[in-house]
Amino acid sequence: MTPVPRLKVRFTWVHAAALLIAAFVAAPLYWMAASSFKPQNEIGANPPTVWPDSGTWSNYRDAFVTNNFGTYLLNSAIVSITATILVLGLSTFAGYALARLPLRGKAPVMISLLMISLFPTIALAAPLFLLMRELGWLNSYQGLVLVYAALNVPFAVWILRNFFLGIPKEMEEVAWVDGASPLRTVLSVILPQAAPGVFTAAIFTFTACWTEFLIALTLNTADSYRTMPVGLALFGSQFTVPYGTIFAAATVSVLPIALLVLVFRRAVVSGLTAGAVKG
Amino acid sequence: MFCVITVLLATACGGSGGGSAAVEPRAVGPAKGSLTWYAINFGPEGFPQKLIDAFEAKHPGISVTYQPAPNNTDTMRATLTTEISGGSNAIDVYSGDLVWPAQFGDASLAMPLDAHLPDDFWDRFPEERSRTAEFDGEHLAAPLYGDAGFLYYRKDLLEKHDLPVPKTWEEVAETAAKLQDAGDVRYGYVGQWANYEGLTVNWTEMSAAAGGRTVSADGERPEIDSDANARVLGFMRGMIEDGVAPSATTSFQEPQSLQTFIEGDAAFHRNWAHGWGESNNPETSHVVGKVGMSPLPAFEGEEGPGPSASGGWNLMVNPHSDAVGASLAFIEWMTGPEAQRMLAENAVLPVLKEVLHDEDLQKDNPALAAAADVPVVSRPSDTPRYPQVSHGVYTNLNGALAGSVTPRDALEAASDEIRRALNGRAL
Amino acid sequence: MSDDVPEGTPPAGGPPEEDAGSTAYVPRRVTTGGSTTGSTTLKAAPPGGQGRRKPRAGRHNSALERRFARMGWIFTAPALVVVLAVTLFPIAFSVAMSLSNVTVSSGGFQLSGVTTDNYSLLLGSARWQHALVFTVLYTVGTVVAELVLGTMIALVLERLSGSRGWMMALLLLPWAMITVVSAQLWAYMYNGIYGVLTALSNGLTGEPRQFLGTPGPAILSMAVADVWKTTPFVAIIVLAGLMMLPTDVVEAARVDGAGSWTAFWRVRLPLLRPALTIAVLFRILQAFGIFDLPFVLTGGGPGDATESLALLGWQVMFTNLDFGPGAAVAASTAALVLVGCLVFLRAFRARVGDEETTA
Repeated sequence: MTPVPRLKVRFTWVHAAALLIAAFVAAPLYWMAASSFKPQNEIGANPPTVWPDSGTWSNYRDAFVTNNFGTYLLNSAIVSITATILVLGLSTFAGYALARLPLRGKAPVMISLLMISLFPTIALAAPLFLLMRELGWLNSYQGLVLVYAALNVPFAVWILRNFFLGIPKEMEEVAWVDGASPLRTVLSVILPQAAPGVFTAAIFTFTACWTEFLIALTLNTADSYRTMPVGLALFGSQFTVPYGTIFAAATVSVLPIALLVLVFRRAVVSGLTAGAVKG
Repeated sequence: MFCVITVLLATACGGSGGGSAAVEPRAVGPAKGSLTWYAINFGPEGFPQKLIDAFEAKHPGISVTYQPAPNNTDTMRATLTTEISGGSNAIDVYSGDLVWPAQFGDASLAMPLDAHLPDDFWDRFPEERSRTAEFDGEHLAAPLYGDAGFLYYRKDLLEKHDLPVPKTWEEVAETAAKLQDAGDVRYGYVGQWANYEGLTVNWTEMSAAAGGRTVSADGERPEIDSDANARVLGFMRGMIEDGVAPSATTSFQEPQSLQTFIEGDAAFHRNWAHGWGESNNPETSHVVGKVGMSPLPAFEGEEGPGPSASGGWNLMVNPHSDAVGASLAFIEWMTGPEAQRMLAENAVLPVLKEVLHDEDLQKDNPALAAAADVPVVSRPSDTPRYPQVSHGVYTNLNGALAGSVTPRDALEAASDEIRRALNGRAL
Repeated sequence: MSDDVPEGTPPAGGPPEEDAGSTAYVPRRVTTGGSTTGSTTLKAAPPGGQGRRKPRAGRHNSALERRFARMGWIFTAPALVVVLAVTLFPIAFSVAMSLSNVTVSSGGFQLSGVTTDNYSLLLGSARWQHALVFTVLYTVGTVVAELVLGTMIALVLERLSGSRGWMMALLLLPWAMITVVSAQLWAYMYNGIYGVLTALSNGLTGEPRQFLGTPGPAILSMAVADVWKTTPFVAIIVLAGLMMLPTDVVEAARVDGAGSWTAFWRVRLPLLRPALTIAVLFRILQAFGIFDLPFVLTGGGPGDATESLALLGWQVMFTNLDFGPGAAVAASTAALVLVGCLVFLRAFRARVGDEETTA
C-alpha cells in the first residue's frame, strides 16, 4: 500500500532514535560491566579508565568463591520463578473474571487491590515477620514466595485485565455459543491472544521478586536461604564498599533477565503478529 | 491463616497497660551447646570465623555459627529490631554499635549483663569505654573492639616542602593550601561530611577541639548553638569555600574519602584506624609508604591534641537467647587476652587495656600506639533518643556545609531539633 | 498530556453496550468525555446495577448469567485470598500501631491506648512536611518525564522490526537491577572526585561538576538515575498496549488522510489510555515510595533536600525505633497515595469499574 521509499525514510529516523535510546540505557550498564573487571587500585582512578587497564576476574572470584553468591543466586531463582508462576496462575483468572464475567463490585475489588499494593513495604516488614514466625515459615522458600505472590498479584491483575479487555469479544462469544466453559475459554481462546499481556505481567513480577530487598532481608536471615539482593548487602564491611565485587555480582544478576527476554521474546513476537492480523 | 492473624492481633493489642521495659535476667544454663553470632564483617577477610575457630578450640563444648550482617549499620539495626522484638531466638550474641546501648536498653533489645558477669569484669576496659556500654546503671554490652579518628597526612609532601605536621586545624588548612598551590596535590583535606552519622562523628571531634559541646554534660539541653561551635562550623564551610576541601566532601562517607586519599588526591584525611592499613596496602593504595598518622589537631588557642571520637563495636546478648551460658563464655573469651591479641595482630583496635598498651604489639602497629594514648570524646549517646539528636546534628550541618544555610542558622536549627529530640517530641 | 481528549474521538473506543455502575439497559451517558461516567464507576457499583448478561446475542438466560457470575468469583477468589491472607494482618497491625502508643519490650510490641498523638506529631513536624512536599514534587516530576520518554521509546520500538527483541532485553536490564545496586552504580558515577560523570563534565566544561553536594543538582541527579531505571517499565507497558491496538482503526484514520502525527494524537493516544493509566498508576505508587535511591545515593542530603517520605518512615521506625510515629508515616503515606491515585484516575477519565475503554 504505502510506497516503499517513504518507509525507508521513516526507518532511518527510527533507527537513529533507537540508537540514542540504546546508548542512554547501555552507557551506565557498560560502566558497571567495565568496572567489574577493574582491579581494586583502578576502581578509584582519577580520571577513570574507560577500558580496564589491567582487566581481572578477581572480582568475580570474590563474589562467587569468597562470598556465597552462587547460593544467593539459586535461592533468588527458586523464589522468583515459583512466585511468578503462582502470580500468573492467580492473576490470569482473576483478571479475566474482572474483565469479562458479570461480577458485582468490580470497582471495589480493583481499588482494594490497588490500595494493598500502595501500602509502604517498610511498614509491612515487621508484622510480616510476626506472621511468618507464627506460621513457622521464617527461613523458608514458601514464606517468601507467598509474600511476593501477594504483593505482585495486584499489578498483574490490573495489567492482565486491561489486556483481556483489549481482546475482541467475538472469539470468546463463539466459544461460549459452542458451550465452552469459562475455564476452557480462558485457556484456549484468551491466553493465546493475550500473550503480550501475560509476558508483560510475568516479566514485571519476576523482576520485582528478583530485586526485592527488605522483605527478603527480614524473613530469611539464615545464610542458606538468603536471596541475591540481601547477599549483595553483605559484601564488604562497615567502612568499605567493594564496588568491583558488587558490580561483578550485579552483572551476573542481570544476565538471566536478558536471556529470559530474548528466549521468550521470539514466542511472543510471533504470537503478537498472529493476533494483530486477526484484530 | 486467618486464625493466626486474629491471634497475633489479639496478642499485640492485648498487652495494653504498657509492659515494663525491663528484661528479666534469664536462667543462665550451662556453658555449652551452640550459639549464633550476628555481626558485620570486620578485620581482614574471614576474620570473624578465625576468632570462632580459636574460641571453639578452647571451648570444645560450644559451637558458634557466624551469621554475617548487612554491612550498613542502620540496616543491621533494622533486622535486629525486627527479630528481637518479634521474640526470635535465632540470634544469641550480636555485635552492636558503640552508640546503641541506651537505645537498645530502653527498647529491651539487649540483656543486662551485670547479673551474670563478675563485678571486676569491667575493669579490663578503658573506663570511658565501659561507661558508654551502660544504660540506667546496667551494662548492656561488652566492648569488643575500639576505633578512633586520626589525621592521616602525606609525609612525603610535607618533607618535600619542609613543613611540620600541623597541630591545629588552622595549620591544616594553611599547609594544605600551600601543597595545593605547589601543584603537588589536588585537594587539601577530606573527611566524612555527608548527611549521616559519620558527620556527627567528625563534628564531635572538631567541636571538642575548639572546646565546644553538642549536648550539655547532664544530657538535658542542647549546647550546640555556641560561639565555639560557630567558629568550627564557619571554619569547615570556609575549607570548602577556599577549595581546601572539595565540595564533594558533603557527600563523602568513609569509603569515598579514603579512596580520594589513597588515590593521592588529598594532602590530609580524617579517618578511623583502618585508614593506616588501607593507605599502606599496595593492592589498593597509590600512596604506600608516603603516609603519616597523628592525633587530630586542636583549634588555635585550645590545648592539643584534639580528641578522637570513640568508635567501635560491642557484643550484646539477645534477651530471648536459649544459650545464655554459652554466650557469656563467648563474651568472656572474646574480651579476653587471646582474642584481643588476635584483633591487634589483624589491624583491629583492641579494647582490653593490657593489649592496647602492649609495647611489643605497638612497635609493629602505629595505629595501636597512637590509639593507646589519644584523648577520647564520646558522642552524646547516653540517651535512647540519640538517633534523633544525631540527625539534628548531621542534617543541619550538612545543609550548612553544602551552602544552603548559614552556619549560625544551621546551629540554631540543630539546637531546636536536639531540644525536641531530648523532650521526645522530634520525629 | 491526555487530559484533554480531543472532541470527536471515539468516546471511549470500546463497545458501549455494557455500562458500568449505571442501571442496566440505560444507555451510557456520554457527556463531556465521559468524566461523569468515570466518577460513578469509581464509587462502587450501586446494587442491582449489574444485571447484564455477558453473551449479548439477545438471549435472556439468567441461569447462564448466574453460572458465569459464580465462575467469576471462583476465578477471582484465589487471588484475593492470597493477597488478603498476606497483607491484611500487616496493614491492620500498622494502622493499629499508628493509632496507639507503641513500646518495644522483651515481650514484643506493646500497643497501649488509642491516640492520635502519632499523627499530630507528624503534622507538626517540619521534617515530615518537607519530606511530603519533596516526595509529591519528585513523584510528579519523574512520572511525567517517564511517561513522555516511555511513550516515545515505545513508539520507536513499535516501528523497529528485527531488533525489537534485543532492544527490549536491553531496556529491561536497568529495570531488573537491584535498586540498591543501581543506586550504588550511580553514586559511583556521580562521585565528586573519581566519578566518570564528574570527569566527563570536567572534559566538557573545564571544571568538574558536583552532582550530589548541593541540593538542586542532587535532586536532579537522583531523578536522572530514577528515570534511567524506571522509564523502561513505562515503555514496555505502553509498547504492549500499542501492540494490542486494533490495526483497522489506525488504518481507517490513515485512509482518511490523517498524517501519522495526527493519527497518533487523535486516534492512537486515546486508545492507549488504559495502558497509560496502568503505567502511570503503578509508577506513582513506586515513585511515592522511593526509598533505596536516596538511602544509598544521598542519605536524604544534602541537608534534608532529598529526604522522601519512605526514607523518613524507615528512619523513624528502624533508626529511632519509634514504631508508632513510623507507622503513622507509612499509613499517612498510603492514604495520600490513594488520594493521589484516585485524583489521577478521575483526571485521566479512566474507568475502573466494569467496562473500560478497551485498547
